[in-house]
Amino acid sequence: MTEQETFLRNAMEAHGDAVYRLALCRLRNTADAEDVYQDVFLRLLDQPARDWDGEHLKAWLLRTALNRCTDMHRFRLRQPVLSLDQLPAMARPADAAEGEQLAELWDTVAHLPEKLRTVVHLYYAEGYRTEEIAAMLGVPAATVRTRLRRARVKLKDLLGGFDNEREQLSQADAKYPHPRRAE
Amino acid sequence: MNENNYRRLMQNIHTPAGLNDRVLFAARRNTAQAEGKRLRKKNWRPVLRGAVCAACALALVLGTVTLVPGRSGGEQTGGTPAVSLDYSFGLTAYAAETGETVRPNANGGLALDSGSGMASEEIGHYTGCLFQVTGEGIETVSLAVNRGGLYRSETRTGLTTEEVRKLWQAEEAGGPVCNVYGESENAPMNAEVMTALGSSTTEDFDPEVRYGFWVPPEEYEADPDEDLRQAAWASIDTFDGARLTVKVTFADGTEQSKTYTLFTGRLRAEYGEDGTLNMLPQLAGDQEPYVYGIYAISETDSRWFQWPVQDSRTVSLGNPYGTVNGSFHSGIDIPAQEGSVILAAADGTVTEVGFDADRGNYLRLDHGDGLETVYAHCRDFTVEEGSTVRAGEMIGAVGSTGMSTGPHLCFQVWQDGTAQNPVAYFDSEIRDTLTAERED
Repeated sequence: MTEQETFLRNAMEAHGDAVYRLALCRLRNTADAEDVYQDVFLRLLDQPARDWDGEHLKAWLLRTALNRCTDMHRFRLRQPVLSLDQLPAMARPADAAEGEQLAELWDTVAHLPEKLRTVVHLYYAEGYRTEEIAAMLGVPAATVRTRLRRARVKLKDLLGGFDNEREQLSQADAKYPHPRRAE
Repeated sequence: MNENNYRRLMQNIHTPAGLNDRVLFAARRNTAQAEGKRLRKKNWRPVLRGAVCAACALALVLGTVTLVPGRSGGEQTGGTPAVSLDYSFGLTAYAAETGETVRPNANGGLALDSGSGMASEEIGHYTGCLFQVTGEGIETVSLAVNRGGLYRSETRTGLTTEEVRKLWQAEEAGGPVCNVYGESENAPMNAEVMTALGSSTTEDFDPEVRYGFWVPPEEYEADPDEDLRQAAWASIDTFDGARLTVKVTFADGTEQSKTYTLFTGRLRAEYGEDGTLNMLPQLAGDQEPYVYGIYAISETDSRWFQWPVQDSRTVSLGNPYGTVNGSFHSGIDIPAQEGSVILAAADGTVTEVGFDADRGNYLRLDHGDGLETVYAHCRDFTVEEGSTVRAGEMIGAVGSTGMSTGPHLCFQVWQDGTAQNPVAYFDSEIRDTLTAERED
């Protein structure tokens, strides 16, 4: 099954980090995130994914990861929240103040309600537009923007370097009047 | 994308080490269960004796490249058959996963996948890049590599537990290294027995024996913190640029030898319509499927071309050589500006200049020994039928005639009337300069 493994390995190399980060953000727990990760990529093998381009593949992976995370929640309604220091793969920035800030950001995001957290992750970490997130989550784009706005209020200035909001969103609106489906 | 703290935070988080290998292992196990019969030849229940072998065996996915052997030139020229025509030999690549041998069938080269490798500081690195010597009437085989070393790999089947224990004892005593696998705990076991040979060896010929590339322990540097796959690749790179000399003696006492130049790297892989994996003799781009391995090129059998377009080193990915969506494309497309100079890829004679609706203005060059090149969709030509051209001589200009949507050259290579992958006919210096472009 050489070609299958090559495909799988390339997919993991290209998008593995994104899937893992999303799962970690959703589940806040490395063991669960790894379970979801494995599950997502094994499911990929049942898909006619060979012809997909990189973005299609990534969107499918993230969406499947979200679904798997939801399934995981059904079994474990309450989980402990991991702090940034407990992440094994995490390299702390050399600068202590910056490290402090990032740890606080992580903590704040981790304690956001799940719906806000998912949107924040897809928007800020993966750089998806609100329409794309809407398509991925199956909710209206306006809802995604509302969630983002609420999340920003809670995150205050922790995000940093990002004077965003209105112009960003309206720009995207004008450019893409119709949400492009992620799948 | 806008920079922000959350993104910065997330960029520090990576997939944990070993997770990808675990997924690959799970995938392989699932597949093996689903297709138990197909994999019977080499069941994936390796009895692993250390994490190192596990990672190597899993991380180095195999494939085999098909490279077209040009008809060995010497036998064809001059019309008089060479004296030693009765006997000849060649190398085939060995695909460890399926147990199949793959004949070289491109420009005299073969690609050796890094199959079931094994490595440790004590035993060195058995890269899993395997080949076999084939031919009629061979008595002895001499192999020599000018860098690193070689090993012999044999498969023993139907071993009892006692025999396996003996193999392991022998290994501990410094004997051959073995990789034992079997269908289940109780079934007879199989073993791949690997014997290090040093940098050269002479042995009696055995068609079943496979030889592989081995990095001796003193040259193998294992950094325990390094990713295992990266370490294995770095180790395989020992052979980049090395030369392998194969000398055989035949039953009638005659000798022949061939020298192969080795290259290593991420060889680009391509999926055929039927799901088979072909490796292309070119480096893979970032997003492309690839197989890491050694690529061997016969110095005598291979024929090399010059790049046929001045000022463009791009190969279109949108319409590659091979069968895509059921239609066969017999060449590679090289996008270039209208009017760019087309150069003869090698010395030859113009045998045909013509026009048809599909290829537009096209020109056929005969290079002898059944090797031809075709240049299609051209604007015009500067040579006529019957003229003799030298390699690198201008023969025409790039255009967009025939079934074409933009100025490009469709470059085809034909051997005895069969289309070949043109990329195999450019040496590594040219291949390394090529860029692939996807048409949107």
